[in-house]
Amino acid sequence: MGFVGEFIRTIPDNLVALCVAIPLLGAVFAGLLTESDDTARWGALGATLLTFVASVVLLLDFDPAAGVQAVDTLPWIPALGANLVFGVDGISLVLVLLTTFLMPLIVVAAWDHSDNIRGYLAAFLALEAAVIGVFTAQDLLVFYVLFEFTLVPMYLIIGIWGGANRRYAAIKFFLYTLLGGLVLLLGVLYLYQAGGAQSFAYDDLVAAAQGLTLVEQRWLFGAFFLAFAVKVPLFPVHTWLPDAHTEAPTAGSVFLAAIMLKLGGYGLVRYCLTLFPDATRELALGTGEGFFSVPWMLVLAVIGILYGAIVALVQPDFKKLVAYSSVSHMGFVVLGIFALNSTATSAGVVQMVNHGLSTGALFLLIGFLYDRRHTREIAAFGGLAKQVPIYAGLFLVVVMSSLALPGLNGFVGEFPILLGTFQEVPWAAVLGSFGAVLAALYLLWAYQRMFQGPLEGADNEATTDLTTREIGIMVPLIVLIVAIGVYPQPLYDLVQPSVDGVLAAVNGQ
Amino acid sequence: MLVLATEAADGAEAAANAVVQATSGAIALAWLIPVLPLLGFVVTLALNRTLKDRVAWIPTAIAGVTFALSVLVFLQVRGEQAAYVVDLATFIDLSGDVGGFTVRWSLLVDQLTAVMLLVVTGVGTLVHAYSWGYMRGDSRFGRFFAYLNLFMGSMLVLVLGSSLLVLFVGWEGVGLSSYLLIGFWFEDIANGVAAKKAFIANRIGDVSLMVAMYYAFSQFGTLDFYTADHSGMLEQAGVVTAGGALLLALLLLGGAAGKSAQLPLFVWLPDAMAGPTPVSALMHAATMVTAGVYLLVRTSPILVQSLDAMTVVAWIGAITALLAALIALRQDDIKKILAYSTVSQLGYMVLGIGVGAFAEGIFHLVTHAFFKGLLFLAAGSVMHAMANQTDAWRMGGLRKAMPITFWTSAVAVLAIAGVPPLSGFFSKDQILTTAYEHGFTAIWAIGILTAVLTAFYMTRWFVLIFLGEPRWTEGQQVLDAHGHGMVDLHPHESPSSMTTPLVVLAALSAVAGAVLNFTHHGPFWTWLQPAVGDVEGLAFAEHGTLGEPALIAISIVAAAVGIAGGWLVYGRRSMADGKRMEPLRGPVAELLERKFFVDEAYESVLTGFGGWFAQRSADFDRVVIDGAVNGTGRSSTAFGAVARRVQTGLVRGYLAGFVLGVVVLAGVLILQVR
Amino acid sequence: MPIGAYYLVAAVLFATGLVGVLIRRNLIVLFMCVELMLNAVNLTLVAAARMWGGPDGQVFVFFVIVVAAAEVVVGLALIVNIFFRRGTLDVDAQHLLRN
Repeated sequence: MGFVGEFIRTIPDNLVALCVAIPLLGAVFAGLLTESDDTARWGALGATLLTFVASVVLLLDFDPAAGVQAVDTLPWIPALGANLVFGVDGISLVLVLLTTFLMPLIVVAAWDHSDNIRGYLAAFLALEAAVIGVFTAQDLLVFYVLFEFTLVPMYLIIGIWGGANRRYAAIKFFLYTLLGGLVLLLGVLYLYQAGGAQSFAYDDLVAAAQGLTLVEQRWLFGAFFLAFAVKVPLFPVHTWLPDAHTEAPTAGSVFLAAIMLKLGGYGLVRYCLTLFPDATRELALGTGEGFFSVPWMLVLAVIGILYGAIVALVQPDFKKLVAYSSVSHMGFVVLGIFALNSTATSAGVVQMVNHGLSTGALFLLIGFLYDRRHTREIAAFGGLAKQVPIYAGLFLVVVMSSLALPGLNGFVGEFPILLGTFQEVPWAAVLGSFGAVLAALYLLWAYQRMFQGPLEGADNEATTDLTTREIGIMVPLIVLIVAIGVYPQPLYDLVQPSVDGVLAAVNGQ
Repeated sequence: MLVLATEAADGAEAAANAVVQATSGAIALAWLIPVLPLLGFVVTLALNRTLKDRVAWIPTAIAGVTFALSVLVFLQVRGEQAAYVVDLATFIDLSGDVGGFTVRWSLLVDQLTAVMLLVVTGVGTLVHAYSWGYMRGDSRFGRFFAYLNLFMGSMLVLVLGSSLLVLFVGWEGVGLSSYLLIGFWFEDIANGVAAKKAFIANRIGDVSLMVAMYYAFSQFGTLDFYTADHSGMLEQAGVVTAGGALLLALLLLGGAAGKSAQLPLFVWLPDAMAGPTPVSALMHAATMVTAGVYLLVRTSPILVQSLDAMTVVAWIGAITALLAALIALRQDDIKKILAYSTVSQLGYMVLGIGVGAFAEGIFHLVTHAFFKGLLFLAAGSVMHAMANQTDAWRMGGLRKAMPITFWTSAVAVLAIAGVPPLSGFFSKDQILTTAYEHGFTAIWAIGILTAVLTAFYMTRWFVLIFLGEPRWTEGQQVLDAHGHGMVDLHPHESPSSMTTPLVVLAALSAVAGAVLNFTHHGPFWTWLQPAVGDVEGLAFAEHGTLGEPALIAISIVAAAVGIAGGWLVYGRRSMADGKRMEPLRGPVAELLERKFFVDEAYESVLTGFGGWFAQRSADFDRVVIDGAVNGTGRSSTAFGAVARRVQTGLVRGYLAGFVLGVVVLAGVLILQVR
Repeated sequence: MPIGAYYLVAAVLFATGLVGVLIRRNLIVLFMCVELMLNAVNLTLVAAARMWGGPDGQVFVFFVIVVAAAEVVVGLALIVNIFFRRGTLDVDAQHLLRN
């Protein structure tokens, strides 16, 4: 009993490690230890719920002003000075909460998956553990290893449980992100060597990066940026995303869009900005000379916003449409991050959460429809609002959230991003604002073709409305979409002090 | 009736409002006014299935309650020269350590707000009542009322918001409700298309408004209109340069042009008539479309910083008014005529703002809400009687069948034509007088011309529907336009739930003008002054020699000429042969009927070029960018094909290579150590 | 004895083994040559361990011996199988890895 008591007493001190460990244990349980599909389902749901509870407890104890906290350290490779160090600051915490909040919904959405459900759930739980590890790692080597590890389960999810063209999509996804990852590894090693760091601990590396010349900073920035830009994804390294989304099963798409893309955005804020502040300022705001007098990061972000939206307009497959809309929306995130002021960068981080909720919800909804109709071609639908009113209503709410209607969550991120960016580089904000018009255009056009007009065709007439379980999945999302839209301040309270810390580093204070 | 406080109405130069935090009285409860309808929206949708059609009592009762609350708020504001700020909660607070964007959920109640509150909740309540009759039997009866409540809630957020951003929340909210209500009968794809068009056109204007907010924040550091410590954006409007004020004003105008259907974004409004007629009356005539006018008047302290900006605003309004009136001359759809008329009248209001007639613009907004709301409800009543048809050439002679609709319509037509002493005469004439007195003679002339056209097309509308001999027969089989199949035609007067609002609005249309603001700088004008921009300091051009009596006389003549012309063309002769009786033919008539081909132009640019461009972009993505990726893959494969020749499969060959490699590496290592 | 002598013997052994691997064609002989090279390395390790007086080298040698033993088992089994299947032990006749 003493041992158990001891263990329970240590829980409050190890919440972050628990958030990584519980899903990992869940993955082992669901994938290896149980023979029964039902046990695996309930086990997975239990693990994800428990993780959610752990992260909420973490939130309750969190002090936004205190920087990185709840740090857990386990020795790993002492020879290299690499330790398993996990901890959270505001930026990490909101993304961890996003992950732990969505995971139970993803598990429930995957409930009826018939093909090797145990392996399927195990892959998702492993993903959750890895992603939370990435968000909380305070050691660059741990970050790198977990960042790369996320590829494996996602590769399996797309490659095994995906659609007809899954091989191509999975390999493309794998190669793209692996390539970015390798460049990142080179950058990490160079930083470790050249800076003469004692370990891979985040603080040591920041100190080591102080000694870099501007030219070194630029190259290293490029290496880190490439890896994260592929994940975000940013134009022109985005083409893996539409294929991965169309081929991935519903739950995979949800995880990919809602959570995995955030690894890129998180990496940008956490590593690109703080490790290479001089190069960041140059490339983000164009403060340098010649080539570096152009705010390249904002240019890429704006191209992403507009290009993604324009290409989304003509996609015949709704999943591809949402995939390109993700390119557009994540462009807003990058725009905010690289505008480098407190308003825009905080909003950029918050917008990651918002995008996770609304795009996750959109993929869930389209998955429900796919289960019924086995197609995602927009042209196959028509007049559905009459046949499936609840579905159509929820769909419209999510669409409105995605096109940043004030009062819903998309707006409270997008608007401060643009407003903050305007204070630094006005034309970038003005051009970015047209993303809002295009978003309305492609989303409402798709809505019109799918839900309005006469109800024709036997397939459309036979489509059934959402079941209680499906409504149950959507309700928490919708509630959060509205709640954040009306009262986003708790999120900003969490995020802003940490973002201010990052920006202080960028500005050399 | 509205009785205005005497101390505010003494005609003395009005000082600015004192700004105070509201802590007591009806104003402290003003937050209930927008919140109740928004709650009503949710509750109604939630109970829709359980309560069936009875659920509509909830939103209707809420509309009534908000009207009562608005009256209480008005009574409290009436006597005092103060703007009340009701602070509710944090919205986004990024002030942090370094200072960033901050905005709060808070409300502003001043004279301008009070007027808008009364119009929105008043007309809103009447339209709720009217809809009981009009929508009876619709399969989505409850949902219709829920959407109406959503609209009212959003519109009230819009007029109550104490900052540009909270205003914008309501602004987009009314856009959403407009989308939902225009596309209410979504089974007809045309309605869905019209709804989408309205939303997109508004969004384009919204970009302008959003950029205006970014710019305003960069200049003022806040988006609050007024604050208790005088740091609101309107209180420090003077800190921007003339160029900055011009830019900001034009950006705001862009936003207003979207919502208030001005050039070049007016195209959505006529299509919006696809919505149920009560919606057209409430949103697309009386309230929502006036949001742009409200926005410009609200931010008028910024407008007055730049005479150039005001001139642009005036010209946009004038050209819109004239263009829309010309188009209205030759439309056949009774709702489309009214829609173009609305665009035209909104042009008047914008024109008024441009020439510095802020209070007059709001005055016209109020009277227009009454008579145009009435005209739409009358049109709805006619459609109700005529199997939902809207073609004026299939009507005629309905005077006997529906006397209440006939008489109330007559009041509205005379009011909009500008016949004294009805309300439209006062408000329109006061705008035009100000335009003249502020030296905008050309714009005044356009206004007069538009007044003639207005009187003409409204007479045509009235005559074709109610007078002459019927162009239909009792019991005739016609196709119901709302998808109820073939029905027998039995024109009849509408039920009392529909006619009562008509009578109320007719009374208001008749007397509101004279009661509120009989003389140009009457009580309404004086009372509003503290809430609008001060034009005293502006260097207007010299104006002509005509005095006010002469100007009034010209206005009256214009109305008389228009009505007489309309009567001569359409009333005196038999119109039994239908559309062939139109007097004007040839290219000019074609141009008017096809609305100057504006829609076609947009169509070819947007869906033509835009669609082409989007398709090419997608091809670019697939062929060039993805092609490069796949190309990399293919070239790796090709490289592998060459490289594998080395692999002979002979073990000793591999070994030799291996040894050679080791020797080379060792050599390099040894050399390096030295 | 000076350490150089051990190294010389080890080098000669290693070179013998290497040349044998490169020029002989019989698989069994090839195999014996590999063993020769392994033992040359073992000799170096033991000698060096003796010189430094540390146990590391000796421990390492045990590992090598164990691995070599395992390798012999597997390798001989393979060679026997190859002989039964293909009737020859000439390495140049074995190019199954091709294609």
